[in-house]
Amino acid sequence: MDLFSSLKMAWQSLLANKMRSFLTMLGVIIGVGAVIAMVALSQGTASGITSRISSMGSNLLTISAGGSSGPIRGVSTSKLTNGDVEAIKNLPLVKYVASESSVNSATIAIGSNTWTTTVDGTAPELMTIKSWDTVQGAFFTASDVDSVNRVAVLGSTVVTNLFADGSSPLGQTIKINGLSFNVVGVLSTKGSSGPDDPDDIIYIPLSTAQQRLLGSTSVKSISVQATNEAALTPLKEYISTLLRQRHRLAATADDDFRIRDMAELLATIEDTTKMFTFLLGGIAGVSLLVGGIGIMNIMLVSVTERTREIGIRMAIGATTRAILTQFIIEALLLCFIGGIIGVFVGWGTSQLLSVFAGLTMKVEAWLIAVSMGFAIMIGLFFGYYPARKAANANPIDALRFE
Amino acid sequence: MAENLIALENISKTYYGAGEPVYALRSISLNINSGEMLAIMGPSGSGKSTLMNLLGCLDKPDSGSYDFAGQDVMTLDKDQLANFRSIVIGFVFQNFNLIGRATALDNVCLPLIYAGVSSRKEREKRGRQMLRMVGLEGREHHLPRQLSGGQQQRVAIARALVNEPGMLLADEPTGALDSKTTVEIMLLLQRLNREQGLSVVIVTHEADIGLHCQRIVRLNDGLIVKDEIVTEPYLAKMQAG
Repeated sequence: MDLFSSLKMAWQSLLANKMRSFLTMLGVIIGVGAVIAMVALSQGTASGITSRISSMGSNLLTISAGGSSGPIRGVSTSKLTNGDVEAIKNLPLVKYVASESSVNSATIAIGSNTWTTTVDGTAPELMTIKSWDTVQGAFFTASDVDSVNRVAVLGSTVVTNLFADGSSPLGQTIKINGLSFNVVGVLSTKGSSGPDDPDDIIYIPLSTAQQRLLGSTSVKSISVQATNEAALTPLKEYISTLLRQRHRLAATADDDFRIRDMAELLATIEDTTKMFTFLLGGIAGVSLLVGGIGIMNIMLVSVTERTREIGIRMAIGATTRAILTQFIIEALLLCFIGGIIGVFVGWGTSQLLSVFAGLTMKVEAWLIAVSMGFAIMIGLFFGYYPARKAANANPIDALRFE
Repeated sequence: MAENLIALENISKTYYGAGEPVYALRSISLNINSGEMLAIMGPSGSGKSTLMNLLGCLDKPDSGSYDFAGQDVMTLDKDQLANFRSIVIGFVFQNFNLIGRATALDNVCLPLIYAGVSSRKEREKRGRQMLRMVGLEGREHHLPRQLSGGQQQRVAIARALVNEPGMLLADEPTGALDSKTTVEIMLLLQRLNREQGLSVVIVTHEADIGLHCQRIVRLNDGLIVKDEIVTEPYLAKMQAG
């Protein structure tokens, strides 16, 4: 029995019960659609996060105060200082170093407009390390840091809120916690993918922040760009040794700082998102499984209803195998058509979510292939038992069946 | 001397149900020659349906020997029986048993698919030939429900003959038809028997149908009670007008 004839027969019997075929398919449609939409959502989110992190530069190390097993993080007594920063600058394999120290909620005012945001004291190298751009003016320079100048570079969210009338912020004077600063530049929008808005920030020279706003020479974090990716591991070692020495830590004491590299962070995030993908895909997969059970149910009804037809087919020469093939193909066809519609439903849902909810969705070819493959396996699995039942019918009993 | 087509010897079939065993056939022997037109008659419960199932290779006897055109049927398994009957036997049923959602042509071509004729062109060519032979040219693409009872039975006959079997096995072929259409069908069967040398076995309880055949085998209580030659079979004729 050739494939084309089998497909034609299966198609005819699905058409004979259009409504029933459609409702049966609906289980697969929803299942495949849900798998695609769910996985596309988690894949999209994951790729958004990872691309942002890798755009920060993969040769990057971030050193922060407080050990991994120290006192409660954030209230650590240990500190990184300007001296640590200068010492790191002299290490080999180091390309750029920028330290940061920030005031978490500073009040910014221009005229009667006020805005509360983070003010970050740093060095001009940070701009290079994180490969940022300015849309207006320029980042402050090393001489601004040396002269403790009161200059500020604004993030785009700050600009939108403080200069709502559209006037240019360049050259204007803003007040940060009551102190006047001259705006020298505006950063290009980096865009947000979560609750933290990376554009809601103001950068000022580190020296100015330490002396005018914080009154301390400690730094919150140090960003170090290595000369290349291979240098990361030895560099981490050098920095660790250097800081332990400078902080006079006993050989048995834990580090009072943490060094993280971006590749490590990336790996952690990828693990997390992978887990999310499996979780969401798994939940959606359950609905596909339920759809498969629906197919089995309807195929069993169909086999009983068509007992007489099976008898006729056997009387005119259909073998067990031919009947088995026919019913399995019917189940497969249901799943295949349902799967294709489901792919479009899932893809459409993803488009809608990305347009109306602003979510990043990523429908990849492998996702479509896997969910179609899964749908077809469901058809094969749940179609087999009813088909087996049909094929084992006794032709005499089947012919007598009313 | 006509060639022997079927040789049944000491055939028995017993059904074991909930109650007493039912002895449907008790050691019967029957020979059918090639080109014969034969009626199997008997009241219900006489074993004629069982005999028909055995002749049609839908079932196997419990004991005895069964030779069909040189093939020992007793040794075939379920799938071999299916293949065998698709080649040597054509079935016609009382209620036509066409596949409702397939056209007349598709119904006729179905046995060819099961027999492994893979060329669609070839199948349709033979299907059309068969429909022409039973006088249904031009109805190829009608669905069974768009055809009259007589026409449906003709489609069924065309389907039964498309594999060029040695024997046509008809179970009450006119049971669901009016007298006029009955005559048409009997005319067709007689013509096929006469012109093509097709062996025809008709299971019926209508005496009139039996008299259209050359030989009548009467069953009662699982035994052959009478095996007679019809000296002057009725010739079915189309009524004038």
